[in-house]
Amino acid sequence: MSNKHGHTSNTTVQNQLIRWINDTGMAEGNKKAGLLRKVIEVLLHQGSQMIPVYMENILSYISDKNTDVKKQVAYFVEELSKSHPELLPKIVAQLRLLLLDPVIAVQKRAIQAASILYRNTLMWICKGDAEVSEMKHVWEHLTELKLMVLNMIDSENEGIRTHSIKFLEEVVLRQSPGDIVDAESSLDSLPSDVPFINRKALEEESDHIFKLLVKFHNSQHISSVNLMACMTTLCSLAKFRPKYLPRVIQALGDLHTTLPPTLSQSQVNSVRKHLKMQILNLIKQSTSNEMMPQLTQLLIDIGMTAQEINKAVPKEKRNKRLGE
Amino acid sequence: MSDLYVAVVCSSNMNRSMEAHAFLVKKGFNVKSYGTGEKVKLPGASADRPNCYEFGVLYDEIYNDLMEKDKNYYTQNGLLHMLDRNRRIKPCPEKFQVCNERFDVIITCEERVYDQVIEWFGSRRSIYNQPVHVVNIDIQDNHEEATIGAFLISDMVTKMAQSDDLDNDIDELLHEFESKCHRPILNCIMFY
Repeated sequence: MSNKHGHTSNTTVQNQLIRWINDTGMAEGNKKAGLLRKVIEVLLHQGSQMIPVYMENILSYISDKNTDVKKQVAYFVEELSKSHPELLPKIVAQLRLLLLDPVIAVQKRAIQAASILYRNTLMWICKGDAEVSEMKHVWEHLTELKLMVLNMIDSENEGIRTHSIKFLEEVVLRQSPGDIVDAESSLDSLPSDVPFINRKALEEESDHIFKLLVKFHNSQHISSVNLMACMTTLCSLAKFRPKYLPRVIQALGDLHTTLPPTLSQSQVNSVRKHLKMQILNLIKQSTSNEMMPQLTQLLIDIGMTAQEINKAVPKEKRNKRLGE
Repeated sequence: MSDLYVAVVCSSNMNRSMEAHAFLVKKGFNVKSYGTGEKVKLPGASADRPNCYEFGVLYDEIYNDLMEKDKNYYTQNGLLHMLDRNRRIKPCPEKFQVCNERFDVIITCEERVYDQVIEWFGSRRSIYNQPVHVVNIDIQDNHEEATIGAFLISDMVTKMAQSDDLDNDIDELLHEFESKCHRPILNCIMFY
């Protein structure tokens, strides 16, 4: 009985899907994007067994003229990388096309999707269920994507830069060794016997990208929004990868003494506030214990009183400091 | 009008954020509103005894509670009128820190609220790597200022919605807005 019902329900979903897929092909503009969104949602959440059959229908919209339609394709690729990583070999090449799209909004969505795909690909490789040749194919595409985004940090468009910063944060995090708590999302989780992955080279690359982010953070012609995005990224890296903390503290100190000359007074206020909030966030982390004197000094430098700092420091750290 | 997804946030999701919420909805924006405080606080019979409620308690229930406590007093100070307006917009005050939505822009109405929003982002790891612009504009927590604040927020959101590329334009857009409205603006970008 239940089988019969299940079969009927599957047929209903499939019929609905076919109808919407056909309607999408006939529609234009926002209506087309809306229909495609419905197709993707139903396929991902109700008819996942039909994904291999209809996937191409969705991916074919990668060269559509509507921006929202192409952003939907990026979303679909991103979601598949999470829920159906076995399809990565078939979808990874699509992201390259989206990254090269002439529309900025599509490029930005593609960078965002690429950062998620990067994370999910590494997890897929860690599981080791796939053929080595397939994993190698995806990895090569991803390496190419990484280089493309690396160059985008110098884009003339501020939003592309913002998205690139976040992508690079993801790369540094995934390609550097973590601690016990964070081992799952770090270089440690990668199997050592995958022939096309050189862990040492990846770690060196992440160090190189980290330095590039520091350089970007302390450059004189950065916009205030990207300066704050980069500051958050550096602090996040320092939080999850304490080996970077001393260099991040140095970068924050340098920023405090030499703010970009192009900022307006209000932007200076926003940046200084952000600096303070980020340092206060770092102080709360258990990973920052060793660097408490430097962080405290930085807070004094930016104008906080000893009383304010003491209030902001977590109780357990305060006691520890008193005990010392 | 635009597909910009906006959140307006104050402390209790009663006055400033709701005034702006109502205004933006009328203009056709896709908007939600929140509070960041521990509890929903409304003025009481004396300054040291505010009326406190949990987020999630219906505006309607709060309305009835105040009606029972002192109908004349809460009619005169405008609280009943405000709650009546609120319950026509949505059922209850919502806490920002527990919402699962992902906005394009979050507008806060005072610096402390802005700090709490940034702290919330700082306390979690980004999952989607989706950016959101957080902007603060100081609005005092009274009826007149909330009305002026709603105008200003609507003006700002309209300009944002008119931009073809907000991420690229935001620095300049806020700079121009600030010099026009003569109120200090704070802003940054965070990631979901």
